[in-house]
This record gives sequence, structure tokens and C-alpha cells, in this order.
Amino acid sequence: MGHYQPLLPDLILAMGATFILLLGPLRDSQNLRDFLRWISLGLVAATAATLVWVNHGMATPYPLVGEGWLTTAPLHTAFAVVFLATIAWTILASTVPDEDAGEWYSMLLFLGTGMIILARAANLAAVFLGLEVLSISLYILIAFRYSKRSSLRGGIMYLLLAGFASGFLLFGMALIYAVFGTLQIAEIRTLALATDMGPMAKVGFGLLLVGVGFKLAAVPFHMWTPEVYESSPGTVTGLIASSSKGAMLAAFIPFLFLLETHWSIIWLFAALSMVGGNLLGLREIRVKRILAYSSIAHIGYVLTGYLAGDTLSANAAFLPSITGVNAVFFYVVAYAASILGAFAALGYIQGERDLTLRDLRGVGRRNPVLAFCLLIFVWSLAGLPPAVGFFGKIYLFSAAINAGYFWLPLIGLLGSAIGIYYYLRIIVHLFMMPADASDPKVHASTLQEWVMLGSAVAVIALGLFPETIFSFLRAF
Amino acid sequence: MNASTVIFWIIAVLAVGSAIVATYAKNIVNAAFGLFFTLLAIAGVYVFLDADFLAITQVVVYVGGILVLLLFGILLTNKNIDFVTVDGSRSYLVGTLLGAALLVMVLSILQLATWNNVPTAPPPGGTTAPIGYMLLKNYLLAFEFSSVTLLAALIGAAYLVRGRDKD
Amino acid sequence: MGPIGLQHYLVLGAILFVLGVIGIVSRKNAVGILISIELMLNAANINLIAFSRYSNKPIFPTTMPEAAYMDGQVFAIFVIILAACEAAVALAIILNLFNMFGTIEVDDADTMRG
Repeated sequence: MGHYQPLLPDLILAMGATFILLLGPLRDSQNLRDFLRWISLGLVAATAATLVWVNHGMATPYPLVGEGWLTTAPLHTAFAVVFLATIAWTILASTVPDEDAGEWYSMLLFLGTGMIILARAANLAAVFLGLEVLSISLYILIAFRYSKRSSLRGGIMYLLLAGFASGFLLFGMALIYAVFGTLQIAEIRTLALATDMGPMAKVGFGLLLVGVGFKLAAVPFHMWTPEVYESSPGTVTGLIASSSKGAMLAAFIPFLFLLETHWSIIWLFAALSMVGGNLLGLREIRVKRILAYSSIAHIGYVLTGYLAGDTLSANAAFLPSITGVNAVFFYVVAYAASILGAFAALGYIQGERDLTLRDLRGVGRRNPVLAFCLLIFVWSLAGLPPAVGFFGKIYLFSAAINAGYFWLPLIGLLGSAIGIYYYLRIIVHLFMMPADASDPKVHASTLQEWVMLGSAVAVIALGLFPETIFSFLRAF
Repeated sequence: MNASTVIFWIIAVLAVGSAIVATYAKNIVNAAFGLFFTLLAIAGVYVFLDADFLAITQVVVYVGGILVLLLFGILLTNKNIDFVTVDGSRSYLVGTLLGAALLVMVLSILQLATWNNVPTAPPPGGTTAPIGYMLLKNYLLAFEFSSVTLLAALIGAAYLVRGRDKD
Repeated sequence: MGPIGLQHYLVLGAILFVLGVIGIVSRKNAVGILISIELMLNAANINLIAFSRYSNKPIFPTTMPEAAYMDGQVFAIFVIILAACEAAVALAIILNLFNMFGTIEVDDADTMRG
């Protein structure tokens, strides 16, 4: 048992998801939905607690667990806990019809299972499996409102594109397996660093990066983003944008040795995403699509930090104590806190049609609490002080500068400056424009308003005390 | 050139030829049958690679399961009974050029690499026992989670299809 | 045409992979794209199995020596399982889409907006 103890968190979550499904048919009870919600929340909390407990004190770099399946490295554990927190947040914030509550919460838990496997994968097969658990739950969550055409379309589109990406990822993995003869990421890393990588390995890693680029929606591969984001339920959109991408980023931290050979691909992804995402957002009037384009730009910022790697540079000029990977961790937390709330708020406002900027008019008067929260989230996404997004960008760009990149942070700054325009446009429409004849409808329960308010406070508080996130990371 | 080499070439040509049909066929039913022969030929390739368990799995799961699913998908989404489901495809030109470029790149790099062309001795009693051993030892977690994934996928699929009688 | 070696399998895998890519880029029909995705996954599987056959590097110590080279084959089994999952979900969405809206062409997106 001791040997398999580190697998406990994943088992709790997966079994819990199944258990929730079994409770689903008990539809007689009026309060079943609330009951299921609290049970799911408890399961996520239990998983997080077990995760921290079993990994406590196992601090050697990339140790192998369960015969080489998952890593217990602190950074990966911290990532997994953050993703569990986003799932917990979504469980609280999502609106779901009574009769479908069982399926909804259980799919969210399956999604969480995929995320924590992917975030801690130590084996290429684990990367693939975690990614597929994550993706399959996402297909279903995206298409969850099956009576709406756009919802089904979003689901099938994401499915086909994710399948395409998996094909690239898998072919790349097969070539890597061919060259190194192993699926263990740690071993591949040792071998790749010890020897000069042959052309085959380079192609393998290149195909792998193409697959990753699709999943992250980095710019040459971003086409699916607006459509899928628009058609998913608001809270699910938030998860696609934040933790499903974050899990991918966490899974590829052990691959940072690729910076020796493939940095130009990542550089290109980052630069194109920062420019493309922000420019595409300028002319859009549908709010969810604006945020979809902005999420492309944000992936560009994150990749900038990624390029800085996980070592501290000796002649660092700015904030020398923060490595690129730590900055990425900070940013994933900051971005998740802001984007989850923003998309959830738009989900509450969204009616039958796609939500345009015009539909936001009057929301500030109709539901000031929600509008105020949305303001804070958008403020943070724009990277303006004192919200947490501001420090996220500072850390990313300074880490990149310390690592010797000059143009990338510059492009990032220019991109953010462009981006501020469309973020402010959202705020202006929210508060300063007179409402149209029809009042906007906002469907948010008291619980949901409290959750939104809580995360708005968190966005500001984390911005005022950014050290908290790093001390959280150090606690693992 | 001995008999097994000849058989390999027949299988390889069958796989590629039917994959071309699967890719280029205008009629989607033909494409599915192209995929059918590709999958069977790939099972043959697995036999060549002494992967007997994989060959059987390929036939049972891929040909017997996934392909039948796809055929159901085609037949149930086709109101015409005469099986003419014309695929409204875009121009193949761009895709073909892109694919050709990719193929040339991968093949030219394959030429550069040196390979160990001596196969290891196949397990004496077939691959089933070692694969079972691996599944329940090194890959136990993966094994468990793939079953969980299957469950999630089945429940999700059932949930989504149930939507039909709603409105 | 010499004896069959690893390269032959790799070239076969590469051709099937590229055909899959061509199909996905060119087709609009959802089932057609799924067919091409299956081609790509199978191409990767051929590679995995061929490499596990020709690999001469045993994985971490195991008490069953003949299992030492089976990494690729086991991975291939997971790929097949997950492909089945994906096809099941895809079929569910496609059937629903067709029953409600009468088409499974992926590109009719914007005209179909409700």
C-alpha cells in the first residue's frame, strides 16, 4: 500500500465522480442539486488535502511514483491544488438544471481528475491519458446544453480539433519513444541533455509542440477558440481558458530542456499570440469572443515566462529571485482567478443570443454587485494595478528579461497596451452607457453573487499581497 | 525476396491504398470502407511485428467497435436510403500540398537517422502475458483510469443522446 | 527491396499520418474528419509498436524479463481505448446535432447560428 499511497488523491476524485453519478437518479428529493454540489465540493477538498498529505516531504526532483507514473515534485503538486481550486470554484459558481445536476458535477470531477493527472505526469503515456480524460470531460461539458445548436457545435468542433492535436502529440511521442527508447520523461530529459539530439528527436519534439500549441490555442493554431468559447456554458469557458491550459503548461515543465533546441518555436508562438490575440480582439463586439482573443494573448505572455526556464540567471537585473517557472505559476493563479469570474459573470448575463457589448449596457444599474465584480476581473485581465494580473505580467516579463530576452517582453508590453483598449470598452459599456429599451436580464443566485464577490476580493487582495502566492508555492 | 517480404508489401500497399480512399473518397460511406481495409491491414502489420495481442485488439476494438460506431454515425445521419452521402469537402489542393510538404520533411529526416534494424526476440509465449503483467504492474494506474475514462465517456454520450426527446 | 526493417514501418506510419492530416484539413463532414483522426492515431500506433519491437533498451527493472520491451505496446492499447471513448462521445454529439439541425457539416457554423 505504501508504494501506491501517492495515487490516493486521483482515486478519491475518480471514484467520487462515479459516486455522484450513482446519486444522480435520486431525483425525488427537492434539494438534490444542493446536496450533490456540497458532496462534490467535499470530494474536491478531500482530494486536495490528500494530495498535500501524501506528497508532504517527498521533495526530490521528479521522483517516480507508482512505477514511474506521477511526480510528487512540489511545483506540480501546487499546480494540481490550484486546478482543484478552480474546479471547486466552478462547482459553486455554475448554474445547472436540477435534473442534470448529477452528470454536471460528475463531469466536473472527471475534468479535475484529468487535470491533476496531467499536471503531475511523469510518463508520456500519463500525459496522453491525463489529457484525454480532461478533453473527453470537456467535450461533454461544452455540449452540455444539448438542446442548443451552438452548444453542440462547440462540442464537436472542440472534439475534432482536440483529436487532431492529439494525433500530432501522439506521433511526436512515438518518435521520441523511438529515439530514447523510454516513455519516462525524467529519463528522456537525462538522455536528451547528455547526448546531442538527433534530427528524429527534433522532429518528434516539434510535432509534440504543434499538438501543445493547438491545445494552448497559441497563435498559428488558435482558430477554434472564439467559436468554442462562445458556445460553452460560461463557467466551462473559464475552465477551458484557465486550468485546462494551465494543466498542459504544468505537464510540460519537465520538458524545459527543449529550450536548448526548440526555443524558436516557443518564441514564435509567444510573439504571434501576443500580437495576434490583441489585434483580433480590437474589432470584435461579442464580449465572450473578446475575452477569447484576449486569452490567446495571455497564452503569449505565459509562454514568454516559460522561455525564461527554471533556473535563476546570475546577472539578473529585475526581481532576481523569481524564475520563469515560478512566474508562470503566479500567472496561472492570477489569470485563473480573473478569467473564471469574468466568464462566469458573462454566463449569468448571457441570454438566448450571443452577448454583445451593447447587451452589457445597464447591467451596472441592474445588478451593481455583479457589474462591480466584472469590472475588477476585467481590470485584472488588462493588467492594471492594483489587481493581481498586473504583478503577473511584471513577474513574467522581468523573468524573461533576466533570461536575456529583450524583444519578447517589449512585444508583450505593446500587446498589453493595445489590449487595454478592448478591456476598457467592456467597462465603459458596463457602466457609462445608457441602457437600451430592454433591460438586461441577470440570473445569479445569492450563492453565486457571494462567490463572485469573494473572488473579486481575492483578485484585489492577491494584487496587494502578491508574495502570498509565492509563499503558497514554497509551502509544498 | 522471401514470402514474408512479399506479404508485407501486399499489406503495406493495401494499407496505403485504402487510406487514400478513406482520405479522398467523395462518398463518406466509401471512405469508411477504406478505413475498414486500412485497419485490417494495420492488424496485419502488427502480426508482422509479433504483436499478436495488439493485432487481435485492433480487429476487435477498432474494426468491430470504432468503425461500426462511425458507420452508425454515417447511416443514422443520412436521410437518403440510397447511401449517397456526398461529403461537401473543401478543395483538397491546399491539404494535399501541406501534407506532401510534411511527408517530404519527415521522410527526409528518417533517411538521416540510423536505426537499430535487428528486432529483439519476441516473447516465447506470445505478448499477452507480458502485456497483462505490465497492465497490472507498471501501468496499473493508467489501466484504472482508462476504465474510468470509458465510464465517463459512456455516461456523457448517453447524457448527450438523451437530449433528443427534449424538444 | 531488401528485408523488412524498422524503416519500412516508419515510412508506412508517416504516410498514414500525412493522409490523416490531409483529410482533416480538407474535409467538412464531421464523420469524415473522425475517419482521418483515426488514421493519424493508427499511424502513431504503428510507430509505437514497431519501436517497441526493435527497441534494445529494457525499461526500468521488472521481475518479468520479457515484459521489459512492452512499453510501446501498452501505450498503444491505451491509445485504442481512448480513441474508442472519443468516437463514442463524437457520435453522440453528431447524432444530436443531426437530429436537431439536419447537417453535420462543420463549416456551416455561422449560418446555423440560432
